[in-house]
Amino acid sequence: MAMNGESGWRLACGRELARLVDQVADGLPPAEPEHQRTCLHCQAALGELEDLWGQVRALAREEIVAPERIVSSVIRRIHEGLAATPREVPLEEVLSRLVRHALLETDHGTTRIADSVVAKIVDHAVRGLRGVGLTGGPPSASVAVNGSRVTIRLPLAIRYGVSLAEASAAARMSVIEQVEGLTGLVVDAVDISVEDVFGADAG
Amino acid sequence: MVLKTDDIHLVSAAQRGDLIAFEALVGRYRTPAYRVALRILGDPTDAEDVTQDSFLQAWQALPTLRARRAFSTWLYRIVTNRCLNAIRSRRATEILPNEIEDETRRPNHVTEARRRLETLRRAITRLTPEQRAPFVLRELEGLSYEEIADVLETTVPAIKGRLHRARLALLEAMREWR
Repeated sequence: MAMNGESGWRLACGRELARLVDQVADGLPPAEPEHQRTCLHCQAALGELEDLWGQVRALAREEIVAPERIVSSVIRRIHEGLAATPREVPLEEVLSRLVRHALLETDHGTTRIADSVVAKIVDHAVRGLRGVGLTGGPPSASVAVNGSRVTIRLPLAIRYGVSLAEASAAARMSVIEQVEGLTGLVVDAVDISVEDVFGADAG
Repeated sequence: MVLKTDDIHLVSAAQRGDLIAFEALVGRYRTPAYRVALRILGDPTDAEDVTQDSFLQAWQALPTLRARRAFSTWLYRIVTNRCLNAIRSRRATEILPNEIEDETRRPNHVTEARRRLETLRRAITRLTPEQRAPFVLRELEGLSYEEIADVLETTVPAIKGRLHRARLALLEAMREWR
């Protein structure tokens, strides 16, 4: 079977080799089953094609497993990409990160109350109490804001001889009253840590 | 590549930026993606590069994927296009030596069957890129004509024509190297 030019694709019996190729590759029924059964040219071509497609199918069955490192490499490159191209942060967002505000929504606008304002109110609320003192320089309380809700962490010093439980309960009550009364925010929690005792040598 | 039900959940989670979900998808689809790339390109290193780049492209383009069910076809399309681009840029920069003659001249260390399979593998990588992609997707990956037309963004008759020419070209090549 010569392969020169278009005539090469025609068998000696006049049938087109191209037809037989698709018959074998796609597993189609023969167009002329009677002729194929008796034609030596067709049978020789079909034998050659069955052999070749047997190899193609063997190649298709060959097991190929991708290297596992592909997964970690892809994820690492995504992380690098995320780090290399920071998204543009709006000025609003930058400011709100520097100064955190509690928000009071009203029908006619929003009131923003800086967390430092809440911390100052906490200081005032504690200062007037007997047997309780603040640690460090004012404001010593730290305030976490979440919309109109606040959580307050308050380090305290307690006078020697005063019940820690009673003193911290009084401080907590005073803080909640003052913050909620003056700002309208809701206090979720006042977490007190007793850090110091004072007045021991005087007592 | 049939998309399982939980794959659809992974795809939608990844679309929302869930990197853990995407990592699971890469784990599941790394082998089909790599296999297509290796069979089109014929080189493991190139195939690995293309596979990685394809998944990165998929991560970036995921939010634009409307039909989550079509994820596998979509991924095949990304991989195939990247392979074809890689072939084009490779052709421009280097001329591959004719390894097939070297292979057949080698002493009979490998079995005849293996040698013929290797010859076939190389013959496939000598098909034109236009013929090679449909040939690999149909004969080696077992996709339907409709799926291949979808992956290569063309019509079924166009795919049938390209595939037909690919099969004849392969037959001719195998006869020459016999």
